[in-house]
This record gives sequence, C-alpha cells and structure tokens, in this order.
Amino acid sequence: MLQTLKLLPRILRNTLRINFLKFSGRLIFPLEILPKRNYKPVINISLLLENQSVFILRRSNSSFSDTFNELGYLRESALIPKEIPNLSLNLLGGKFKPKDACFRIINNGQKKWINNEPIFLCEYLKDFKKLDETCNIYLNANGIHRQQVPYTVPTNPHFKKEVDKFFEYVSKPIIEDDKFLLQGETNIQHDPTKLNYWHVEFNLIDFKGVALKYNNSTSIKDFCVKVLKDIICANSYNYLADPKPIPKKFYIK
Amino acid sequence: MPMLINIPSTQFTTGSMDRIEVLVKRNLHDHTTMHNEYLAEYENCKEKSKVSRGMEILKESDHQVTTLGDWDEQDNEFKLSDNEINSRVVLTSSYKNELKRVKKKQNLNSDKFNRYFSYMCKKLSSLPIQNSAVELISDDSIKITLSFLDEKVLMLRKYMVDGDRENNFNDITYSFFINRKLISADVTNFETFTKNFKEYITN
Repeated sequence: MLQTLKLLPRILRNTLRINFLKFSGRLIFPLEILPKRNYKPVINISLLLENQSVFILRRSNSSFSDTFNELGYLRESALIPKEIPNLSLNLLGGKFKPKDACFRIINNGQKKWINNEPIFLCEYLKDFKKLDETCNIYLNANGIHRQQVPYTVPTNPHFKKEVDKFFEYVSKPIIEDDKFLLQGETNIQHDPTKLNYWHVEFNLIDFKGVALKYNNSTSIKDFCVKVLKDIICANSYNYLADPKPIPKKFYIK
Repeated sequence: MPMLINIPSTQFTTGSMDRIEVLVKRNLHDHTTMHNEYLAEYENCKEKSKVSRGMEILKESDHQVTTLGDWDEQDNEFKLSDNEINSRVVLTSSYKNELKRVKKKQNLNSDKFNRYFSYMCKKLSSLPIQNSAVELISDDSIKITLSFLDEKVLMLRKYMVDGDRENNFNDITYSFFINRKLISADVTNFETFTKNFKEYITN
C-alpha cells in the first residue's frame, strides 16, 4: 500500500502521458511487451521447452535474400560474430508478436528488469526506435537449447590446474595438440529487460556450467562459435506457423 | 582461371538429356567456332533421344570439358557419373547465384573464391546432393550447406588460407544435422571426411 502511494505520482503522470499519446495516435510502442509486476522475475525456459515446442524471433536488419540462403536457412553473415555468445532473441507465444520486432530497444530500455520494478513507458520514450525495414528470423528453441558443443582450450598451466581440479572425480578431458577438448552446452535463458519482458539470450555454457564470454579468445571464437552459428542456422525458418501459446503459469506469479 | 558459364538455373534439371545439354553448351562455350556444328549434332541427338550419342559428342572434342572450366585439367567431366554431374550442376548454380548477390554489394576477390569453391565442388560432387546453398563469407571463408534425403543437412566451412599450406588447405569445419538436430561437428581433413561421409550417406 505504502509502495503504491509512493509510486502514485509516477503512475498518474504515466497514465496521462500515455493516454494522450494513444489518443493522438503517437503511441507506437507495444505496451503488451512491457514487464508487469504480476510477472515472474524469470521464466524457466528448460521447463517450458520440456512441455511444448517454442519459437523465438531474431530481427535481421538485412533484406530477405541477405538473411536467408537458397535452402531457406539463415545466412551466417546475417549474424554478427560478436553477438554470439549473448545472442539477443525474443520469445514468441506470450505477449511478444512478430510485428513487435521492428522496435529496437536502446539505452536504459535494454537494462535488466529486476526486483519486479514497475515500468512506466513515459520514462523510456527515448529508449526505443522503430525500424523501417526488418526481416524476421524464426528459430526453433527446442532445437537450439541444450545442444552439446565441443570446444578446445589451450593447456596453459593455470587452466590445466583448473581443469584437473574439476575433473578430479569425473573422466579426464581428451587432450589434442596441446588443447583440452571439452564439451559445452548451448543455453537459452530468459533475460527480461525494462522494455521487453520477452527478451531471451542464447549462450554457450562451459564445462563448469558458466556462460562463455566473447573475449577474443581463439578457443571460443574459432570453433565453438562456428558450431553455434551452424546450430542456429539449421534451426532457422523464414516463416512461422501459429506459435503455441505459452501457458500463463510459466510467467504469471 | 576458373570459368563460369552462364546457364539459366531452369536448365539444371535431373534428366539425362538436360545434363548433356549443360555439358554440350559448356563445351560449345569454349569452342564458339565449332558452335553450329555441335549444336546441330546436339539437336539431332536430342530429337532422337540418343543419350549415348550426346556423350560421344563430348568425347569427340579434344578439349577436356569440366563443369567449372579449366580449374582441374585432369578431370574429365564426361567420365563423371550422372549423380556427380547433377551434384556439380546443383553446386555451381548455387555458387553463381551467391557470386551474383555478393558482387552487387562489394568488391570480391572472385579468383580466390573460385579456386576454393572449385576445389570443394570437385570433392563434394561425389555426394548424392539434393540441393545446396553457398555463402561467401566476408572473413574469407566459404560455407556450403548441402541437403540430402531424409532431412539430413551437412554444413561445411572452408577457410581460405594464404600460402596454401598443406595442413590448412585440407582442413574443413563441418556440422552434420538430422532433422535439424546436431549429430556431429568437427574440424577435419576434407578429403578423408568426404570419402567417409560418402560411404555413410550412400549406405
């Protein structure tokens, strides 16, 4: 109650401003994709995928022919190397619709939504842009989540110590050409942002279960990124049949 | 210098006569002075549906016909099987479409791409390819996606290394999918992989 009273001025200001924009036809941003206070902080993607097929959407700023190849698969060049890992995607089947992909969220709008923070769109009117021409890429989330990806890491003394420690009780990794051959796993994680509750991220989890970061390391850049790209390309579609709705129990508290 | 001949993709069908047509027209492209004579022979052959005569026309030429021109003079195209010719035609068509797309956007060292593509095409033509897509990637690599029967897809990536060091030149990165599910991925010797993959896919 006290919290609502504290927020009252912001609620009123937002209501007035948004209604004004709505009635004057200048409100272009889809309010439905904003996080709401009755939403769960994070959707359990693994549990969701166990229950149903789910599609996710990636926006390409290139033309259709520059986005998809002759076989209808995503072109590798439509993905920017630095975007993988941490590939930004949108979960379909909830409130996010394919037409919403034309909004590029920038600045504060990209920041992580935490602690059920109330979002007032009037405070973020400069934090998104509407793009004129975009091409939607649909990805089968079930096909790209939890896929085993081999990767190699040079056997420098520090890393060797770490790997030896980890594999003390499990089978040792194979060493090829002075490199550890390890198994990573792809992972889709719900990552709601202030202006898009349906934002998810695609990552590669290392042998310890920690997300690998792109840091110009050849071990990540060279091979596993290529395999990640191949997994994404192989599970891409240039069309979408009706996505199965995500049951409310997955995102409503 | 690799030579690509402009043949509409509509001609790239699987019928024997069509394939011979492609070969004859390629051959004629190299021998424009003999054009009419060969064309008459070809039309005659086509009318009578004598496939073997079509092959003879090719054999009569003193030039060794190759699907992509003279990138491999040792390779007698008329010794290739129907499947191999078909695979080469499918791959070449994809490559040409990609070259056309990329050339609209940027300057391209097409000689280098031609050389690497020809090398790959020659090896891959032994596979029973249903369809293909070629991507020329700006970081100096070629990606070829091949589709086979039963939802099998092979993605191959070849880096274009300078100096043609034997080890690097033969290396290739591949990812193999069945029903879009990753089955295997690795960096491996291209020739060995193609040979082994052919055995797998044809058995």
